[in-house]
Amino acid sequence: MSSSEPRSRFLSFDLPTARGLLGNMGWPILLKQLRVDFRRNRFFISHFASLGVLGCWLIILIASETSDPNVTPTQIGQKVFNAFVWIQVSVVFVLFPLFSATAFTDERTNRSLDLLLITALQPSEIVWGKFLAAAGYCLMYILATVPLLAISFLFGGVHVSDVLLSYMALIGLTLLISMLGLCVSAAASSNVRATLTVYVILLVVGTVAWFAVIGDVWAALEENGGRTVVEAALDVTGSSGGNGPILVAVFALDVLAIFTCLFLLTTNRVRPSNDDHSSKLRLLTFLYLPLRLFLSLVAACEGAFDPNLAIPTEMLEESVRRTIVFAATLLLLVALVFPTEDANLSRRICDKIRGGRAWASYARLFAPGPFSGFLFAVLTAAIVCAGLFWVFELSYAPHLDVSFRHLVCQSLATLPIYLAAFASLGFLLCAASFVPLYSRLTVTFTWIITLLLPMIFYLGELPDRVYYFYFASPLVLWESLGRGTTELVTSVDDEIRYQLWGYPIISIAGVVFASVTFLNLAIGVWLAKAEGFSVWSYEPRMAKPLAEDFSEKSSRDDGDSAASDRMETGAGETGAGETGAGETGIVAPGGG
Amino acid sequence: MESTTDSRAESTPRPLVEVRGLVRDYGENRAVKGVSFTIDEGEIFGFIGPNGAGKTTTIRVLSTLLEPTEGEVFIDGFCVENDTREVRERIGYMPDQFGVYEGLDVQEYLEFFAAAYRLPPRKRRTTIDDVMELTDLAGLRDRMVAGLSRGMQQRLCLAKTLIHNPKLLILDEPASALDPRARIELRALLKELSEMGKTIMISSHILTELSDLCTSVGIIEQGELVDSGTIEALEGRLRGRDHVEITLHEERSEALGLLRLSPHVRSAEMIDRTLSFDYDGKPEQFYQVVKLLTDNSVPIIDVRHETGDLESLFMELTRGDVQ
Repeated sequence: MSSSEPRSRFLSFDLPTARGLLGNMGWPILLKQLRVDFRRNRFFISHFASLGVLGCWLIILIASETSDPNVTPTQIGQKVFNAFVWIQVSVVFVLFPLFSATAFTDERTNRSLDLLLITALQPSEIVWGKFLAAAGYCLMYILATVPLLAISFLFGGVHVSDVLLSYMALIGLTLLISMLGLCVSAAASSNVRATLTVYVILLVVGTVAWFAVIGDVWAALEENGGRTVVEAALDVTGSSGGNGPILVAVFALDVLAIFTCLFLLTTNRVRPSNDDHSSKLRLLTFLYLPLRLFLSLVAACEGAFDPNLAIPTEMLEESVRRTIVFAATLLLLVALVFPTEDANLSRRICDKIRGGRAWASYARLFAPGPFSGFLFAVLTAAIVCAGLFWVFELSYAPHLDVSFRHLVCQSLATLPIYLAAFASLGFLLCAASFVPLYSRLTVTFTWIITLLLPMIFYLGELPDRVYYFYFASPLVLWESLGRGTTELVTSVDDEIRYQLWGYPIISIAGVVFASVTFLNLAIGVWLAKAEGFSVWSYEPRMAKPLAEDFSEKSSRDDGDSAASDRMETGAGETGAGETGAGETGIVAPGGG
Repeated sequence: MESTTDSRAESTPRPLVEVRGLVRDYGENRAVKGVSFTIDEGEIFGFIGPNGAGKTTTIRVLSTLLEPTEGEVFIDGFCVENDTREVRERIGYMPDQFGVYEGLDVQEYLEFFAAAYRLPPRKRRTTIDDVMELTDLAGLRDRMVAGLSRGMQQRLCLAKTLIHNPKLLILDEPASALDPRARIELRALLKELSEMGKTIMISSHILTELSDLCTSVGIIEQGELVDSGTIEALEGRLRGRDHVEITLHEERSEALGLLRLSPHVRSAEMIDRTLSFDYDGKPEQFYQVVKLLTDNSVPIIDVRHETGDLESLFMELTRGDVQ
């Protein structure tokens, strides 16, 4: 039996084996999926149609550009390359979700998923198999377009690095979208729902990406057409000044982290619904966030760490603003997701956590459950904000003016408290037996209201530079409108970090949000105790209705209960069928 | 583990399935309410209940597809919650409704499940040949599974269920959508599997077939197990539930008195020209009751004897309520 296989050990720890980590990478699923899918027409038709459209588009583009005598061959090559990249990105966003969004819903509607789940395959193997099959088709298409891209080389103006970077981005996007489709498919109940959900998510992500990066890249190309889309993207993200490798590392880290996150979510969905394995997700978040933000700061403005360099103030402010907004968004997601987990943990998970080694009890922060989720969210926010503040003070602060430093410090100081209030609201809702999805929607709605209300009233007065910090922590808005600003400015000197707690606005934040947090927590804990959910002790939930059912039944039918007791006593030794039938023949409910 | 198995096998049949106080909730709805039963090795256990009684939920817990809210379930000594892998090695589950993969032929379909159950590649071919032979699918090796009839698909699913040689077969209403011939063939196949030593848990609505096939049954209603036991024990309990109606040519008042002389006649009454009573004696001695009447010149023109069976017990124990 596989469970008895000897395992490698290091000190007292069992080392994971390669087979344990990777299994067979879902090979049976992949093989089956390839057999099934290659006997359908849709993959060949979609590939053929996409390649045909891409080829025709490029031919028309070349024909129109070569007829213009003012356009140089280099510009034609760049335009062909740019058109190729834009079309490829569109295909990745529009076509590729179709290949993975029905991976599990097909099985579910076909009623073959149960047969799959009870095999010896692990959930991770099933997900790998489905993913490799779905991504395989997409990557085949990407590779099939390489000859079309070669056309742009005939005209010049395109470097090999442009091609490599664009293909790296396309492959990364393909892998992410395939895993996103799989993740949605594992949670959805039908093909239509899964497909629509994936497209809605991509629409939102695409819109955000447009406003964050793609729109700027497009505008930069419109403004100065003599370069490739890759060069424009590097310029827009501030990475053309020599720290391109860091940007590549950031991109790779993002892809890897999001991919892993989606993979873990998908694997969780394949398991029973309350068998929550969010610990790995928390660990991933805990490791990824600080590293990503640090790299982001470095990539955005490498020179800020060199005090001898004179970096333009606008550039520094921009990089700090971007980083803080990015951090606030990620931390908000953390506060939204983890405290709103299902409070009703399965007995197996409770047993596993309680049965862990002694040192593991200190790591309960990473264990599933809404209360630990709340603590995790708050701690992560505090650590990340403290880290950002430290980096900011160490490198950026000397180059910036005092008022900007105020904004940064206030944002970073109030953000964890601000997020704690939302995290505690999520915990409260889950303790009140809200479904996680509804809890998350409620918290999101509350966040939007909190964000929008002041904006509606003070939109005209909002200075541009405050806008980003306002997103991180709306308290900054009040501060920027002159409430107590005079006092603040006069009270701050170069030792700003030692006077953080002297800010009136931070005191207000502390009082208001800490009060809300405390209130939410108190009610949440009380509700959880009343409902029988474990808050921190990881005891299995005790269901009161069962006892009531039994007492009613026993009072209604004493004779049968007594008979069942006798039967149950005998069942362990001789089997219920024989003993029960011979003596009483009755198994009363709840006899066990 | 093995030595324990051997020592226990010598004395009494070992319970392969032990269900203790199983509770399963779907949100606020309690689908299974403290069900307890055991199934010994080699048994064919019929799991009977009306729609919505909790049969499929119980079966899905046994199959590791659902986790119990409360209670414990052991299969061959392994807990379905904590020892999922070991339990899955020991069970073969066939759901009530299942789909097949279009685009695969019968051989490929079974090869996929053989690989999914981690059968060594060199053993797969012979194992697939064996199960195809057993389920009479050998002639359909190259047929696409989507083109098979429902009965053949059922056989294919059973073949898939047997591919890793499980100890316990859990079949959820396997005959529900089959025509009479396919049902008879399936029943014969299950008997053959039982003779091969497989333990079978089967849920069904077709009670007459279960009574022929099963060695023990459990009756569930509204999430509660209302009765269980071996078929012999149930037959013993059913004895005395025979209902007899004897129609006379003309009304004879002394006939009622004659019937009451018999120690096995209960609740006798005369309605018009019909004698109605319950009989709790042995079936082979029933002729004595008729002889008693004919010896006293009671003119009998018709005798209707309704024997108590699984169906009547089921109807008596259940109210047909759906949760």
